[in-house]
Amino acid sequence: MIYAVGVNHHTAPVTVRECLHLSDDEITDFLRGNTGTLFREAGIVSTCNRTELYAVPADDDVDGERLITELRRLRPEKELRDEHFFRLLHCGAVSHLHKVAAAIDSQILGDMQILSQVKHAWEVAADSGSVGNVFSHLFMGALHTGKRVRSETAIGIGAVSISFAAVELATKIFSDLHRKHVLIVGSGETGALASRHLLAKGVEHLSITNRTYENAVALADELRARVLRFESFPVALHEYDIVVSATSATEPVITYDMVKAAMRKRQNRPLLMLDLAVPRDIDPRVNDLGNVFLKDLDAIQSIIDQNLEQRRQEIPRAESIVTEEVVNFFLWYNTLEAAPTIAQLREKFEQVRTAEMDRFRNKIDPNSLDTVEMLTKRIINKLLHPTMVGIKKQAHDTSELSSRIQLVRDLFDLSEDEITDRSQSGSGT
Amino acid sequence: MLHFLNSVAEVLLPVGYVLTTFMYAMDFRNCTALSGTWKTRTLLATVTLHFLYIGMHTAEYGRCMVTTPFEIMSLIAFTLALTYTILELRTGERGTGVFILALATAFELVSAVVMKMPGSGQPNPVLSNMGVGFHVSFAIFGYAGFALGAMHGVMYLLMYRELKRGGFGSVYQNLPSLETLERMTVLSSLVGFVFLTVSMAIGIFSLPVVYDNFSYHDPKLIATGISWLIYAVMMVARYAMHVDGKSIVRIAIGGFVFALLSMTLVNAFLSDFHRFM
Repeated sequence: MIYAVGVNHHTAPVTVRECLHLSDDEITDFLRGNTGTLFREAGIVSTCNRTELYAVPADDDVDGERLITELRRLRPEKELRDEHFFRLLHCGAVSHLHKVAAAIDSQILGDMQILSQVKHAWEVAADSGSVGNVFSHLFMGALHTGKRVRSETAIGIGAVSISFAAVELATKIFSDLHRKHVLIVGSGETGALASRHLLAKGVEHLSITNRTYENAVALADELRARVLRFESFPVALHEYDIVVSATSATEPVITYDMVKAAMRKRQNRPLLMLDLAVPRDIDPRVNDLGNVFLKDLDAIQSIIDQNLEQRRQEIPRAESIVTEEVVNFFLWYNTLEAAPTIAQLREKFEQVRTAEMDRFRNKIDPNSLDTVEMLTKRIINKLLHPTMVGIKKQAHDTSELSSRIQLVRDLFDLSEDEITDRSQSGSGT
Repeated sequence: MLHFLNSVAEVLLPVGYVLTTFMYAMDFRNCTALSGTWKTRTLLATVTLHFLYIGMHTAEYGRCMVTTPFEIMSLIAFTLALTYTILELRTGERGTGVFILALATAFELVSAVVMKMPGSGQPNPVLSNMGVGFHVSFAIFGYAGFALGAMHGVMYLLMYRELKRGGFGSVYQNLPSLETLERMTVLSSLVGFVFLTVSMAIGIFSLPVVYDNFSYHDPKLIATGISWLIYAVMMVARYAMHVDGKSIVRIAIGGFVFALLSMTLVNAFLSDFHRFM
C-alpha cells in the first residue's frame, strides 16, 4: 500500500505551509530515522507550496494518521491542525504524485519548476536510503509523466507573471533584446524586479533614472546599469526602445508631448512603454501615437489571464497522460504480488535438485561433478522460465493475477505461510 | 504511364494544398495534437509531390513549366510553399505558415481551374526562345517574392493592430515579432525586386528579337515599370531614409496589390504583343 499525506496550497494557507517547509537535511534525518520502522520506502516533496510525504508503511499498524503524527512531530511548536493535512491512499497517492510532477496541481498552473523539485526529492530520498524498487518506479514514472506533459501539451506556454508577461510583450515587438536600449524610470521594488528580468533576458543597454539620484545610482551599481539624471531623461527619451516606468508619482511623469517629440527624433521606430505604476506614470494618450505601444498593469494582466486560460484548456490532455502513466505504473506494481511465489517456487526446485544431487553424488565421477551441477541448474532454469514469465505477465486486474498465482501455488504445492509480503520483496531489489 | 501519373498529381495537388492550409489554420487557431503532429508532414508531402509533378510534367512535354497560365500559377504556388518550408525547417517559425500557404493554395486552385479551361494547355511558341524563357522564369520568382513580402506585411499589420488594441489572441500568440515580420517583408520584397529587375533587363534585350511589333508603350511594360518603381521607392525608403516599418510594409502590400491587379487587367484587356498565354 502506498500513502501520501501532507499540506499543500489546496489544504493549508501559506502561514501553515511555510512552517512545515523542510530543508534537505531535515528530510534526510527524517527519512533515515524512520526507514524500516515507520516505512519501508518513502520520499518527501517540500517546496514553498507543499510538503508531502509519500510512503510504503513498514507494517499494517502504520496508516496515514500515524504518518501525519510523525510529520507534525517535526514542528511540535507550530499549530498544525488535522484539517491542514490531506490523506491519499494507494491509487490516489500515485496519481497525485504524477499530477504534481505534471504541474497540473501547481498553484501556478503549468509551472514546470516543480519537475526539478520532484527530481530533487527523489535524489534526497535515494541518498537517505529510503528508495527501493517501488519508489524508484514511482518517482521515475512521475518524472516521465512530467516530461511528457511538458513536451506534448502547451501547459507551460505563455508568461503568467507581470514581469515575465512584460518581457514576453517586448519579444513580440523586438526580435533581439540584446541590442535594445531600455530605460527604467523609478528605482523602487517594481523597477528593480523589471530590470532584473530584462537583464536575465539578455538586455545589455540598461539605464536607470529616479527622482532621488542616489537611489538610481545604488540600483545601477547593483545591476551594472547606466544612470540618467531624472531632469534630463525627457530629452534622451528617443534613445530608448523600451521604457519601463514604476514610480510612486501621483501625476504622469511621461507626457504626451515628451513621447511625441521623442518619436519624431527616432524616426517613428517602435517604442514599447510599460507603465507598471499605480497611479499611472505615462499619459495614456501616447498610445494614440503611431508605433508607440503603451501597456499598463491591466493590459499586462489580460495577457496573463489569456495565457492561464490557454493553460487551463490543456488540462484534459495533461490528465489523460497522467492516467496513462498511472495505469502503466500499476500494471508493473501488480506483478510484484507474484514475487514471493516465484521465489518460493525457485527455492522448491532448488531443494529437489540439491536432494537428488546428494543422493547421486557418490555415483558420479568427481571430475564430472561440476558439469552435472551446472547441467541440473540449467535444466531447472529452463523448466522454470515459462512459468515465471507466465505468472508475471501483466494482468488487467489484480484478481486475474491472484488467481494465476494461486494456480501455480496449487500445482506446485507451495505452502501459504511461507509467503512474504510482496512489497517487502519488491523493496530494496 | 507518365500522362496518367501527371493526371493523378493534378488532382492530388490542390487537395494537398487545401489540406495543408487547413491544418496550419487549425494549429494557428488552437493547437491540436493532430494538426500539431501532421501539418509539417502534410506540407512536406505536398511540396515533394509538387516537385515530382514539375519533373514529370517537364519530362512529358519536353519543356519547362512556364508556358501556360496553369503552369505559371502552379510554379508560383510551388515557389511560395517551398520557400515557406525552408523557412520553417531552418527557423522553426510556424506561425506564418497559414498565411503563406493560403496564398500558395489560392494560386494552385486558380491553376487547377485554368487548366480545365479549353485551350489553356497550348504553349506560346515564343517561349521556346531561351531569353524569353529566362525572362518569364525570373519574373515568376520576382512576383513570388513580392507575394511573400506582401503576406508578411499583412501579418505585420495584424500583429501591429493586436498589440495596439491589446487583444493578445491567436495572432499575438503565434506570429513572430514585429521586427522579424518587417525584416521578412523587406527581404522577400528585395529578392522579388532583384528578380524582377533581372527579368526586365533580359526582356529589354530578348523581346524585340522575338516580337516584330515590340513597343515600349505596351501597357504591360508600363505596368511592370510602375511596379518596379514602387519597390524601388520602398528600398530607398527602407535603406536610405530609414522609414518606419509600418510605412514600409504598407508600400510592400500596395506594390503587390498593384502588380497583381495591373497584370490581371493588362493581360485580360490591354496587352498588345506581350502575351505569353
